Amino acid sequence: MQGGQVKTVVSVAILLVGLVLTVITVSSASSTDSSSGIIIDFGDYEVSYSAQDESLSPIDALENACGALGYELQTSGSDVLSIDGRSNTSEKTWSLYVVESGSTEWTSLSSATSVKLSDYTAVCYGYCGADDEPAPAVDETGYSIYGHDAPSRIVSLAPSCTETICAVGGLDSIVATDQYSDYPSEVPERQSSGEIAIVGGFTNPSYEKVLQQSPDLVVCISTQNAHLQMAEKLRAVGIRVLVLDGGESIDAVLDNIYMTGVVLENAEGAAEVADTISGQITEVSNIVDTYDFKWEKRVMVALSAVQSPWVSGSGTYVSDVMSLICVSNIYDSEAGWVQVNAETIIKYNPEVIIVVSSDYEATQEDYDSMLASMSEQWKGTDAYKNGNIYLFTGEAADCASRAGPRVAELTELLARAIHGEAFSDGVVLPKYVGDDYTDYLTIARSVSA
Amino acid sequence: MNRRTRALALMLAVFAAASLLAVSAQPAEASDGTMLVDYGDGTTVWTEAGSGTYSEALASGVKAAGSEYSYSTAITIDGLAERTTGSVTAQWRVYLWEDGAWNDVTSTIDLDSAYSGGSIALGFYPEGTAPVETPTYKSSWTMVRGDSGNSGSQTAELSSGDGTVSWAYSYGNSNYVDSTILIAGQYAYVVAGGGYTASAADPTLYCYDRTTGEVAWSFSYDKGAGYETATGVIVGDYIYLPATNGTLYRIPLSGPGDDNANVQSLAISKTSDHDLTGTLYSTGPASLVYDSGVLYFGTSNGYVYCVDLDLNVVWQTAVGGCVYYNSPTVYGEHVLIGALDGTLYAFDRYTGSITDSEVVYTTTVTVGGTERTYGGANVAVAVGDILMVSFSDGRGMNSTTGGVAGYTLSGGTFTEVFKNQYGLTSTYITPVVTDGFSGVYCAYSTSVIRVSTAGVVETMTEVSGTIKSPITLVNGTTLYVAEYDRGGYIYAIGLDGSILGSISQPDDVSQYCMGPVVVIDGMVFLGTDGGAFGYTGSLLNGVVPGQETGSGISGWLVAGAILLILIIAFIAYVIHIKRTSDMPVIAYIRVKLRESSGFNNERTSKVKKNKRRLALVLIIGLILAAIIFVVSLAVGPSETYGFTETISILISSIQKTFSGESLNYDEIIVFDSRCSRAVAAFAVGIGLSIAGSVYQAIIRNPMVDPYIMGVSAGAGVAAVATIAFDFTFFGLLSDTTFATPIVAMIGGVVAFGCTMLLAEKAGGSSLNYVLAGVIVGLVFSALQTLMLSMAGDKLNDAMSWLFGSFANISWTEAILVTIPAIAMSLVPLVWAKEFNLVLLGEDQARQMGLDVKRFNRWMLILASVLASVCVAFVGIIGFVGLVVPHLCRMILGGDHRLVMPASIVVGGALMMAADLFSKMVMVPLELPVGAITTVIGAPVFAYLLIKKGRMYDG
Repeated sequence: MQGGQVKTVVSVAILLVGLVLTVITVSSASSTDSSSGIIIDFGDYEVSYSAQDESLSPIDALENACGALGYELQTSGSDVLSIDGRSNTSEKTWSLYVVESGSTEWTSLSSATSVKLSDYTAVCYGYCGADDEPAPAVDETGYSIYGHDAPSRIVSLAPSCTETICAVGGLDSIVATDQYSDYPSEVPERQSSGEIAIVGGFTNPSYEKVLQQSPDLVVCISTQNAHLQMAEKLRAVGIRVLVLDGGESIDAVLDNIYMTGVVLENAEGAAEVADTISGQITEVSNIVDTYDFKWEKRVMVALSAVQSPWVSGSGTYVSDVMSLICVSNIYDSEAGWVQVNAETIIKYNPEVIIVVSSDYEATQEDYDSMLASMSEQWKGTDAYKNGNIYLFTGEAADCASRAGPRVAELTELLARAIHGEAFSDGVVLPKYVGDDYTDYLTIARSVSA
Repeated sequence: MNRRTRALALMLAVFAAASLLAVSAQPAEASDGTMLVDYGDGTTVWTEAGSGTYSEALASGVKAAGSEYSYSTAITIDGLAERTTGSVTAQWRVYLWEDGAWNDVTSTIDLDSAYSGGSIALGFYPEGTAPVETPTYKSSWTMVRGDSGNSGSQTAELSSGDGTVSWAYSYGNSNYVDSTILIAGQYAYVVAGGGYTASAADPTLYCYDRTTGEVAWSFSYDKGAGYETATGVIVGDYIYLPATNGTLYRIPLSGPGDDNANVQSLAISKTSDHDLTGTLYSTGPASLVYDSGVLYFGTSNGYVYCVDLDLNVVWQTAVGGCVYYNSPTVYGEHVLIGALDGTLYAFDRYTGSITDSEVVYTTTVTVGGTERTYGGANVAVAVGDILMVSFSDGRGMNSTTGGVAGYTLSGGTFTEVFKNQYGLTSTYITPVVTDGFSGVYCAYSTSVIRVSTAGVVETMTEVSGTIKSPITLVNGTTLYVAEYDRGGYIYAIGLDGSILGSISQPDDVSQYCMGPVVVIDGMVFLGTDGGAFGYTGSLLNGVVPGQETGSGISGWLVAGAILLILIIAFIAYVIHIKRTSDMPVIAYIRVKLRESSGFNNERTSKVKKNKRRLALVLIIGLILAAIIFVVSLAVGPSETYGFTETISILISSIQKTFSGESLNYDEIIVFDSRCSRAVAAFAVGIGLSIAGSVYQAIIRNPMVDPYIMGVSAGAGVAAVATIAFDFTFFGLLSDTTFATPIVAMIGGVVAFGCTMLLAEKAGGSSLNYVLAGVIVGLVFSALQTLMLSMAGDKLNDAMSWLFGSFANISWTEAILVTIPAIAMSLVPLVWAKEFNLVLLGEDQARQMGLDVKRFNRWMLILASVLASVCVAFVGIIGFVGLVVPHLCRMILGGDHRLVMPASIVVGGALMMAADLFSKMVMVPLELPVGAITTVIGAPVFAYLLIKKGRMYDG
């Protein structure tokens, strides 16, 4: 079959040409940062950064940096014994950490002599215990957060990012946000006055709209695929992007605040904010801890009041907060947000149920209709019988669902709902809270630098 | 007597002289007796030498320039004969214009001999340095504000030209021109900042011919840690360039030489050895000024330097704050500088010792419980005996407060005259002295304001946008200023606030702008975040905002008009033809159309008919595809471009991409953002349509779509696993950004493999394939649903992938999907005849010599891989693969030689149109394109089904 053979050859040829063309045209252009400075981390977000010649070895750079910053430095060979009066102890020692190109994690480096700063994305001398690590120096995609000017035109792609930027004093630099950013209240005000533009939804921002703002910094989160792809495209055209940790834990929130602060040239302010927030959380958890409970309360956090709801398992933002305030999440065995069988609700019999949903208004009427609509499984729980079902709606729901700087407020809000009796200040949280939730908080206050 | 007052008086005098000259005649180049007095601080005066001896000629010229001349052993002007700073001595030197250069004759000339005419210059320079202004190019702008007093004043011939763009360079969207453009001789010196992200270009100093924009040379240097906002100085034969990499470069005006051999540099440390308060930057040296043989500048690590022209440090003094891009001011025997600790410092200009410092403004900001002190004294300028200085809270571009303060400096000590805090003011303020006013002009928000030496603030005029650029004063009468925002205007404003003229910035360069407008005889220069440009003309007759005629629409109008003319011509032709026949026009056209299109034509042969039909479908499809393509590029959520504009942007961006230049804003929008999407959409449309045709032909079932073999379900499972559970083939793909597409493609192929295995075991017939595909697809779909239900907060990500979207396509992805998809789509075209045979049934095909089983198997594999590739990058997009082949078959009949080419154009065009809708329906949201395809495709399909359904059997 002569014709058939020719056609086969032609077909194979076309496919081969296509393959070769693809391989040729896609050059693997990987752009990564290299470090041009040295970080000195004293722990607890007390960090100094000093720009240094990138061809220096870490120990030489450290000597220069200590000279410039006025720190007293004691070394033995390439080992650091003491910086600014803080010496190695049995608990904390000075050691060299680096972030390899393309990585986001600190690795401990034993020898500091044959390497130079530019070999890594970040180089840090950290005063850390055995299990500690220095504060983050690269964002979630491995780009250094140090060594740039403060941005003046910021675009935020997520509500939690917007809150974080504002918490470290960057409100006035925000030129655009996603559609859902509505906190602090200046943001929606400026959105309606046109001072802050909107560049799309949380999951589907528009690349063009972002470009149109001519930003010098775009802040987004690592758990949104669309954000990661956006970051890559923006970096390709030379726009700086800070990818925050989308992981939903208190530590991630604090790290995000710190990283944003560094990028906005307000690291000290951000460290203070992080410190204040964790102080408030500790205060709340101390109140709960010192109150004499007989057992950890069984709690369920649900996203609606339907028969088989989506609930928080372990590893969510809410569950991380709950773990601090003497609470047993009845769905701790599950990971993430999951839809559960209604039977298990009555089986685990939660003592407190918290419904986080913006489907309702914060009114008695809506609350009653929610209770009335509940199925028998829900009505069989201790929570229902004892009237311990709380509805978080509006701002309170946002506060519970956005892993951001309002984490201390969420902690107190949950503590008051679950352990109201532990608070001796007489403030009683109503069964439904909405935009006015902060009226019922006495410890946690929104903080900003 | 104060130097500043004198300089201003000089300028006024010279302006009067210049206007007289301008009236009398076109001044001849290097005319006899032309004389330059160069005060060695950036201030220059062109005048006429007298006659008699050299000394007499010079005395007369200096007098005309408004200064006092005396000569005994050395020339003394205004009481100054020489000045020694460190080992550098500047003195009045005499230069003669010989062979196109200033020849320094100070040591040889006998000033008592007769002056025989010719151009002559007196310049206050050290030996070996000559003035930069020449009889041919009588004006220059050699430092950030033109002179060492930061006056921002210039004498220039103002022409009434409309301001036409002589040249414009766009360096790309993040390649900012932040420093002042310097002008010396024939050339303009522009620093493109490069942008400091890892992928950005290095900063580059360009030397342009100032009238033609031709590049004479360029010098690239390492990027530092900031915008290149500091401005250099041109002295003698060199340009001194401060860089944020912590270097002061000295580059000959003739160019850096091969391998930059002629460039010298001085490293400036960026780390500080003393405590600094206020905002800290790491940008190295700030803007320089030149005065009497030495350069002065501050640094971000809190020092002020005096450096000689060979880059030897004369003195270096520590201050308490970072000095960002501010330049020092030379004021009599002192040098003044403002730092970010909020303090204004006065130094002895010879020794560098601090004679006094005055805290101008500080503010305490509480950040999370800790108090931090910020402040910012900017640049001082002399207005008569008063030093005026702008200040702010020093928090960079986030400053919110500021104002202007006035001081006197007597015996090296400051005394405050007034301090006025009213809001954010520009760093550089421009001294103005007229009969009725003495003070400074500066920008405040959208206004131009003035502050008198008594501290009285007046708003002079308001423009449409924010102004952040310093104001340039020309001839003591006209202010030039540029608006900050993209698309802003440049204004020429009278001292009374009247707007004398304005003009918009060139489209491709217009961007955020914080640099000053530089006005040099008959031309205006400006740098922006988008590039730099030069206008011929002085804008005095420029376009008033809002009155330009849009050029964008005309392209569309022209295209429309051409189409209209063609239609009219066609109708006229038809009417003409009709006269020769006896049918009504409409009926005639219908008959003719049917005949020529190949539809419903009984007279032509079947083959000919089909060929005509195909030609018609291809032509219409291609035109449609081309139109949709252009519209996709022209229309989007941010900007809308005209037809011709779109095409020219596209062409220029392609040229730039090939030559490796970076793109400007419009080019990024059209080329990077829109073109990549349109190309990918076109390719995916083709791929899915062809895959659909192949499946439908082989399986001989009209309900078959490209996903029938389980490809989409397999790809979906893999993609969801990657997105929601970080499945990366056991770490194999964890480093690549293409993890999701690659895993998805593998998933699709694996699912097809399962289908094929099952089908072949069952006998390998078409029906086996369909059934196997359905089962495999169901299993994978079920797995996918299970995973989705456990995806938690990753559900959104996973769903948006499954919905399908082109929103995240960049050129890399576009190429990765386009080339393989098109290559694989071409292969079935080669086998179109065999597909026709297959349709006849296996037995008949076998009789015709085709190994049906083998053919089917290979084509199924091809189509499945093709569908996998399409799915991998853009997710699951339904409808196109199912319906496009049907559409084509309804129109063209069952011949695959016709259907397949037609599917290519129709599928591509439909997908591009759907993508356009998906981004435009709910700006700025990106909707799932799969849904859009269905919504716009279904009515078309329904219509055809009703019209042709009776005759159509799949």
